[in-house]
Amino acid sequence: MQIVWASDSGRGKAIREVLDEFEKQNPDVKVELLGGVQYGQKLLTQILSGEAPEVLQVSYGEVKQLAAEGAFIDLTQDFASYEQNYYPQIWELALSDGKVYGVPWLGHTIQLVYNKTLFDEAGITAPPTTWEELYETAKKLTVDKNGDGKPDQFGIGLAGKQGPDLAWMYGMFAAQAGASLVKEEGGKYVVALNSPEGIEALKFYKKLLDETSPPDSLNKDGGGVMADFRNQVVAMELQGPWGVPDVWKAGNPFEVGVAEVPAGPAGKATEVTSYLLSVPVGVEGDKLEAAKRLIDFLVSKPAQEQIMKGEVGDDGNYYPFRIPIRKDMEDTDYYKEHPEFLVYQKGLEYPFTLVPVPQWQRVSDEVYQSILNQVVSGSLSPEEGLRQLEQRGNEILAQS
Amino acid sequence: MRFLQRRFGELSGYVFILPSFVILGLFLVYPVIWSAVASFKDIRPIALRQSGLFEVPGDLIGFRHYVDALNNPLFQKAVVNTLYFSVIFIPVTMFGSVLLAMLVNRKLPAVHFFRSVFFIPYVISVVSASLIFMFLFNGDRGLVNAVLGLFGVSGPNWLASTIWAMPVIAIMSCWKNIGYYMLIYLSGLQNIPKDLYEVANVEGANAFQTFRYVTWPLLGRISLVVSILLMINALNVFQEVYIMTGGGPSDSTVTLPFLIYNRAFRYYEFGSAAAISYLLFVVVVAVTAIQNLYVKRRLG
Repeated sequence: MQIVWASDSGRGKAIREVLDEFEKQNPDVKVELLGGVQYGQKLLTQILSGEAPEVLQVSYGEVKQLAAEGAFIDLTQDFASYEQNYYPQIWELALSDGKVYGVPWLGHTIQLVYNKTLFDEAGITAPPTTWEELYETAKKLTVDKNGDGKPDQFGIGLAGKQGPDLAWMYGMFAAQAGASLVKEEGGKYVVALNSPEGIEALKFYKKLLDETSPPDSLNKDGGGVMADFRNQVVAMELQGPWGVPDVWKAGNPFEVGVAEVPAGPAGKATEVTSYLLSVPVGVEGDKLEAAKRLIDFLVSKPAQEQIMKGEVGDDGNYYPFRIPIRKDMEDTDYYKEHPEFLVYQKGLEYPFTLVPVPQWQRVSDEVYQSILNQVVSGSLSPEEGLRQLEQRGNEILAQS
Repeated sequence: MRFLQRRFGELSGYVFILPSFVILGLFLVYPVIWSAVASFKDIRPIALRQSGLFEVPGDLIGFRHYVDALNNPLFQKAVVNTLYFSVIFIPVTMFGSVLLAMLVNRKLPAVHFFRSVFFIPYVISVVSASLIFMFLFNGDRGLVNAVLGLFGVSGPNWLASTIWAMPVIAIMSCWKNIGYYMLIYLSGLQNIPKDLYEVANVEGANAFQTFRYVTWPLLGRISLVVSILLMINALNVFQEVYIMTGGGPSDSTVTLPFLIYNRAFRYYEFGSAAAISYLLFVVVVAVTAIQNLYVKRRLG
């Protein structure tokens, strides 16, 4: 029997090995691997056509959005007991109305990536662990090296461009301050960010951006920040696991370190995105059974370990890109050899959720990202910005 | 049979156009009607799975999507942004392409080479062009600011400025499109009778007068076509925004297609996406009709 699995692009050969192992254990099933990311228009067209691959890799946000419509098969009966393999909040992301519509497969966390070489030059021995230390360290690393009176090396790269990267970066600080994006009020969700904690985090973000980030940060997204880090324009960045091999690919111009995100007033928090393995509605019979067997195999520990083999780069080599999302991966061989990636695994313990309710996506696109951009560029005060967010965000949340 | 022939003419003609009818019907007329119906309905995306070809699932909700769209501040902003874009894009492209067309209409050495060179930007994909312009207009290390710096002017952070981001996108679109419209104008120029220029010459008209009273009026019909095409271009700006600014800073480059895309393919709200599309459609038709009327009156 032949089933198709649509996974992420670029993971080709590394994941094929896992599938070969699966096929050895299940001689009656052949798995065809399909590249490309499954979201939006493409995902929906696949499901609507009834010709979708039997197993899909879909982000938790998309699963939540489409599960309510009946796009995926309820896997609760077969996979509810897998809850024990994950941290509670990670498992929570896989649920819609208490039912399992996808099993967590891989994902990413964001941590503090820093340039050890620049840290050594500045005499800084340890990465910052609190907001105060982060600010001080970033200040120390913002220096004028060529003596023209303007800094040309900066402490930390932050996104200021209107877009999703600005939303998750600030979102992390907000969560570290103890703010949340939405709260439930009388059975409806309302914006909760307009709180003293939210304002404090936004002020801190703006202060870091103004004083310790390159002047054109207002037009930078995560990719721009990563380029600055690679080119040693900034000494720290908030980046996912792909941020480390990005430096390797550039020929290791400096030593790169990864530390946990600094703790805010309410502790540590980081952005976590998980991708789930889901079965689209319409798959039945033997194919459904085979799909479940494949999912069961892919979320097992030996298969999860293979995720760190990574994705193919421009040079044909494989580099780590995302991380396995089970909580018991720390003792695996890869992490013994590359402990710097273990920090990303730790991030699973304190996740902050980017899209707490499906409607938040629209609030984020139509209001939130624009307001954050206006605040960091100085055309709105943090207080006024978050007040407007509450007002216009609630209008959108009330509509749906 | 004879009755049919009397009434409709030679019947074999219909057989010949049948393939085009089927194709246009399936890929043009059908979606147009489908989305018109959809714009009045509240469609759940997965409901499409079970629905038949001529069925639009969902509850009828009247004009609610239209009212919502018109009341959405982002929609209003997008309309203003599109106007801002058009005010720069349409005249610059139009006059730029006329000028270039007149330039390459002369008997110059290697004129064919230059015609090709001017056309090249049109062939480049929007994605590459956007990246090129992002480098050129980079606030810190961009070429434009470096050149301004030579004259002691410190340039703005173009794409991060609510005033400048849209003009940069417009200028890029001009650069990309001028070559194409140059070709259209070139064909127009080559259709203008030479003796008109001879008369103008005999009457002692200078270069500007010749342009003003001979060339430009005789290009009138082409200018109408060009201006309609340009306007449609202007209303469809999407990829540039998606890549260069993501709609920012502070929504200053959000356009209607950007909104439509998000509605349909990020939040799966097909009804409201269709409603915004139809609002856009009404505007296009209205402006085209006005343009048509105006030019007809001018040209008699």
